[in-house]
Amino acid sequence: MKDKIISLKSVVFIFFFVLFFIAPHIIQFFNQGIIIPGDYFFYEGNFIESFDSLTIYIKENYLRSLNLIKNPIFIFFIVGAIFQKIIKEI
Amino acid sequence: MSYFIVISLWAFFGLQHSYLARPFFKEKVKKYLGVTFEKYFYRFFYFISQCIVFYFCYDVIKSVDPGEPLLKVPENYIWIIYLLNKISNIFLIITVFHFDIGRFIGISDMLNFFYKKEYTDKLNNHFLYKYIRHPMYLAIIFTYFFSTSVYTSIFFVNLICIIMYVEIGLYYEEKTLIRVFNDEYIEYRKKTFRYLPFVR
Repeated sequence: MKDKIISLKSVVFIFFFVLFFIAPHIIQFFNQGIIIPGDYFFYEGNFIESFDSLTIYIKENYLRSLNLIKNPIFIFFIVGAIFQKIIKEI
Repeated sequence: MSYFIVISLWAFFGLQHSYLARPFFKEKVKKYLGVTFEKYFYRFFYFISQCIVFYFCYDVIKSVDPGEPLLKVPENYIWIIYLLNKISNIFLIITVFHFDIGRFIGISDMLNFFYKKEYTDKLNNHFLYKYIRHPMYLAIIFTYFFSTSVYTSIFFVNLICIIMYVEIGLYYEEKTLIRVFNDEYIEYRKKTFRYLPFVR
């Protein structure tokens, strides 16, 4: 019997990987064009130039850092862990 | 001023990140919060704290006055940076998917507590890890490098801080890995590059 070259699991993995992690980049490209995150901050950034502006910035923004639900690192790892668990179970 | 803020924030992030992950700190956690907490819950709380601290530090770092551009990629070639940015992002995601994310963020440990399971550490030496011991660090450096087409002095200060953080972090991380895997890791280290290809 021939060895299976591609298993169902790898097809499912590739499909969902593309859906969750690659398709958003493609959609963003078609909706917004070429956007480089660092350039956005360079041209549009709210620049801290002194200790006073640093203090004001921290006062205005520290609560945002505490909000885990909107924390992109937290979301990325939680989604990744769930995704990996689903793939393992298939 | 900008340099001072950026270097201080990277130093703060790196120090607390390494300190909280060191075995002697975990011993303190065991002493004050109990062996069960350290074994099954500490990693998840550590993950949450690092999400908050990193997000906070990086948010401030990217809002610091970047100064005048030293190097600007010409308009015609910006698409190359864009493409490299996307490739680096996907490379970073692939490196993350290469290890057990649940274990990395502490969810598996918590589930082990509720399901009364035990976890045995296994050395990850498949696919990219066959050649490079820490591909995620390489991906982080690439992702940062291609995150802009306007290179300022602050960009390079950030890059140096990231490389220093990676170097110091790796020194301690490898010490821990040798303690956990002993000869298996020492042998693995001889056969692989650290995070840059061709640099052991």
